[in-house]
Amino acid sequence: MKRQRPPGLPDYNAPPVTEVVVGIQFDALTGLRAAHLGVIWEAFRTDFPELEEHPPLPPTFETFGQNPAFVSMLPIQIIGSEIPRVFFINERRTLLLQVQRDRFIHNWRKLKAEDIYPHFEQMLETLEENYAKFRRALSSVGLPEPHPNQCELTYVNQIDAMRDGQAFQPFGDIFPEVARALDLPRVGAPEDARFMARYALRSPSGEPYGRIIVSVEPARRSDGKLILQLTFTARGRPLIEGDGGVIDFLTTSRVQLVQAFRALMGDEVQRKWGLRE
Amino acid sequence: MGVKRMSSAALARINFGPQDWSFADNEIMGFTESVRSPVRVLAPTVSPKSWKVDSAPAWQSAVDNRLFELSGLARDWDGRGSAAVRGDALAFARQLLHQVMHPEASAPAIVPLGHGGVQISWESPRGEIDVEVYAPNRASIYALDAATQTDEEWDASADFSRLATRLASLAL
Repeated sequence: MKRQRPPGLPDYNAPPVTEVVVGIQFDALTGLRAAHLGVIWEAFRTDFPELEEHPPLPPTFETFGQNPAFVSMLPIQIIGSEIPRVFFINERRTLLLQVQRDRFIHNWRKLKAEDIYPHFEQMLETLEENYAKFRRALSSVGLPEPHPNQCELTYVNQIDAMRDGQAFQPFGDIFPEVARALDLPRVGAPEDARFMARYALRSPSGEPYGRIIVSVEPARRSDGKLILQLTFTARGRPLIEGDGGVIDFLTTSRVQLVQAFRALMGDEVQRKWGLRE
Repeated sequence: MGVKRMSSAALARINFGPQDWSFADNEIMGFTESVRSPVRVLAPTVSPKSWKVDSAPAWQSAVDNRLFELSGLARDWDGRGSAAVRGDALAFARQLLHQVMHPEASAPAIVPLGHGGVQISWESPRGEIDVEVYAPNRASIYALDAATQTDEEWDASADFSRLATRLASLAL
């Protein structure tokens, strides 16, 4: 059955999204060897003919205790780097799958102005279809079923910070209320600003299982263009065992992130992006 | 059909995030790395502070060294058929320690277990606590109160607040 966008969820005709990432982290497949990655690629090669190798990402977990601090990056020597992370990339280079010992990730990226975001339902279908293919490929080489331990959904948005050839900071347009609260007497509004906010996600019984993370930062793209980069991430452990838990986490997170996007940013700029409610 | 290989320089960079935009500039992407194109985050430079800022807890270096030692234990490391120590169990154990330990505390004892996980232990005159990490999201905790000689056991997956409270009571 084709997935449908939940009724009542805000939508945009021209959202500023430039990349969307849906990912599953699972208990490491310790039996997976570099040679297996070649066999796995064969299963995807028709739709994803380009291959790239990258260093593996370290395992990441959202946990809760008394220390709110960020955890420093895990030294790669502890988890080993002998098995790379591979990218399977489609011909237009807008879609890719990332595979490593403990990760299966699907990205969409906007490379040209005419590239249109396929929307979450399509991305989830692509993830499901290819994750099933990945598991069949694992089985064909005698490897066990992956056991998911974390899921993640991330939206990267890039807002142009050039107007009529001049640099300007769009922070006040995007977050008008925050910008107003930051006004200094006899000085005025901030020239620019950055922030990161984390929110705990809790199960119906009140147990924390993940986080929403929102970050905003001025940046410069590799083409030299000034931008404000807004990243919305939901990450955590699936509350239900099996495929249902992954899908449940991602579909719930999608609603939460769209609602966060709607709630945090100014109405006027959202109307410019073609807000439909 | 292009095949881009991972260079040893790229591998080396992963240990030193600040040289790599994707880790240094965007910590939250540590799980599903954004791959669209590198962006250089623009941050203002301010005067250096007069006091030392050390974000790493005092125990981290000792713990990382111990985890590194354990990561080298292959299958049958004890000659009794034990499983190799799992890298993801070590990563989860390290994450757990960051959530519950006081930054100035000493490193706990960490020993390998036959199923590929590890046991983390603390002991003081006030009691003892053992945490058995089987795999990511799977930990069993045992705590003994020396004064009352009462003990309790529970399982935890992501929320280690109760462990943190018990650990604080040991006054390590």
